Amino acid sequence: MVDLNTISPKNGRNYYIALGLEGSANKLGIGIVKHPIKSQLSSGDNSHQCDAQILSNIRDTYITPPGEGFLPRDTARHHRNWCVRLIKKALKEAGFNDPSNDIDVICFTKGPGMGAPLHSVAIIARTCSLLWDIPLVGVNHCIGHIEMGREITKAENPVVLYVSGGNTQVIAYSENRYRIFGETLDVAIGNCLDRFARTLKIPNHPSPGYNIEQLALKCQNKDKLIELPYTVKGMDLSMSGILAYIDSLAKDLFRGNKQNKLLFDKKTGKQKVTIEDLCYSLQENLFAMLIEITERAMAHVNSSTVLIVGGVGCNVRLQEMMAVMCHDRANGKVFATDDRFCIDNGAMIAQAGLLQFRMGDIVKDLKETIVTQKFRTDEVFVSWREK
Amino acid sequence: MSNLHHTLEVKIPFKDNRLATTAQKVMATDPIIRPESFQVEYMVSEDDNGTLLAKFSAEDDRSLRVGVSSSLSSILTIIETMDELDSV
Amino acid sequence: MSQEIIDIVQNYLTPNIPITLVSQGAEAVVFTTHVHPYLPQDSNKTGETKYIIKYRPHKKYRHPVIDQQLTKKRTLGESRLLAKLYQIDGLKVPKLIACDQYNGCIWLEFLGSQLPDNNGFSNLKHFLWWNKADPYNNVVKESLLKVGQQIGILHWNDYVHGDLTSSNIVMVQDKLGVNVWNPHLIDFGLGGVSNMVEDKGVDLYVLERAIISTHSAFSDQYVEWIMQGFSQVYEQHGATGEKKLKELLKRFHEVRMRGRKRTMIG
Repeated sequence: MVDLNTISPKNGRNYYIALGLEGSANKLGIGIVKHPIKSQLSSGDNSHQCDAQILSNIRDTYITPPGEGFLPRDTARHHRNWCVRLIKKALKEAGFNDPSNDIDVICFTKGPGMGAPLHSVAIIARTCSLLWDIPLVGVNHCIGHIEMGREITKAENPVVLYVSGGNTQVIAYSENRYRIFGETLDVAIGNCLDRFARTLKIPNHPSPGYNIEQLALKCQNKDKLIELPYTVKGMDLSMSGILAYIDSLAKDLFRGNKQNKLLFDKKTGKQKVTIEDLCYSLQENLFAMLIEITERAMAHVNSSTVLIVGGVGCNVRLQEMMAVMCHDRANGKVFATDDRFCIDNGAMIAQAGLLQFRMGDIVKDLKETIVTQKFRTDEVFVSWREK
Repeated sequence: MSNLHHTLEVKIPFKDNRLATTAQKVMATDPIIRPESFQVEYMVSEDDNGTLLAKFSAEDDRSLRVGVSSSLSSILTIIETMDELDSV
Repeated sequence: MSQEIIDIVQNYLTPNIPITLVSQGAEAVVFTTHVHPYLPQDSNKTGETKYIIKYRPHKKYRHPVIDQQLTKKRTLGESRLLAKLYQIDGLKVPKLIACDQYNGCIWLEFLGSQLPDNNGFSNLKHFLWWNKADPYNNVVKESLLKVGQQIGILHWNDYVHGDLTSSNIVMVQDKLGVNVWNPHLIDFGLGGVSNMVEDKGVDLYVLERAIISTHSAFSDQYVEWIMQGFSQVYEQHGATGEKKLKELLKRFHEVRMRGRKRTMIG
């Protein structure tokens, strides 16, 4: 039986406070989350209704110039430069001036992600833990997304579509693990969109995916879709071929390669396809694949609700398509969050970390805080949920 | 260890032994990625009040430079964290 | 399940062909009927013979161009594939009766039965759950060896399934009352011809993952039995078979490592 109330909060309070530090990719996020003690959490499967309050949730994104991706070393430097300032700001926003008394647990991202950025934040988490004498909890980034999504949307047991720069997974819970039913066999969806944005040399601000979404909205040729490979393999999918193909189309377009009959009229040489059309077709094709594998997983586990998490989950078109599928399926429902929680943030690490903390799962030896680039979602034992 | 002839010792002063030890613990946690070409040891001596001693050794000057530089930027981050967030 | 889809199918088939909904898969809705599409009515006078109607509904979420292409390609592809697979010695797949690719509809022979004590339809998933109390009994072992053999025969003949899960394998009872089960492969919508080890490796990987996620506690042994049956088929073909098997298993391993070890960022 799951009892989330066995560990007492600090100083006899009736609530827990967690500080969450996230820096696994180009976003640095600091969040502070409060959980009141709630009798309903002493038993049953209620970890999605902690009545979490977000006391602060700030983020600073390392943005690179158009056409460039973010490199681990530079991203780590960004995080080192900003992390302490952001922590101070978050504490101030939450109204705390004595962290060692105010905070119950410090949660940080242990992985997966880029090594150097993860490490730079872990160093700060360790230092704060020792300075303030507060226990540490290492959190799996993907679990952070899932638990934040569940808490915000109150989706009890949804199929989870996790779509971000580094991940594309269809996940469902069973027997204390978030199990991966389908995933990409090569690149992640966000990475695919980011790399295409780089080819197009469009700005990385606020995010490359967002700018592709805006361009797709401007497509004037929506009925004439550009045919792209459709590569669903069971519940898995592959995207590298699609990326290579659409990249080559974009390059031909820039180069003005009139030989390409798909892009230019055979006789007049007039351009038939725009960048906007490419963005539109790419989104339609990739998202159709995502929805299809999600629906496959839903059919397999007999579920009617979906939760979309991860940065690409902000995409309105993706949410829209998912909603149509869920409705047609079993009058089901789609749950999604806005950019505050979809995009990497500190609150999600605090939320998942606090659940771990409340189950007594804390770091006992600093060696456990060594970060790891590879950390699969299904490696985590989910003690805070019923079997 | 025998091949690691390029060495450097850095003494970093902290306010007191508590902070120096904190830095030592934080730094000593992570494993060395290529121990055959670079090694580092962090120590706080009892008598020398509040000094972190970092002993680097590497197989060539390049490995030494890269290793020392990455280690120092981490220590810098720790010091900033202490300066800004230590409430004691 | 939305009534809308049932209405569309019923309307397309006309009221002369009464249908019963069996399941709503991800891409197809499956019905049963007692009416054969072209044989005279009285050939099934007793009404005992059942047929499967597999309908791929229009998916409103996706772009109409993608939708039409996929529906046509998969319906036609599946029909052609089934017709060929049915001729392969030892391979057990449903018999194709009719195909209407423009309306996304195929008719198939009905396979399987209800498991005793309300344990659901006899696909491999329910079959394994039904045996949960004694998960490693001999019937399970024999059945999983045969599952492996079926996949082995499929791959040996250079075909791939594309969506191997425990729901897409139907267990057909040998004789009523006898606890012997013959697995049949169904749902070839993502299947195709391929002699590439990559495709076969992915096929096995997809199945392994489906077994791990659906039958977690027993998956190691289950996968081992399946792979044992699979290997037997290749080993029957002497040195060539052994060589191909080795190559395939190596790739299967690589695909698995790719999945596990891929760095996952943000």
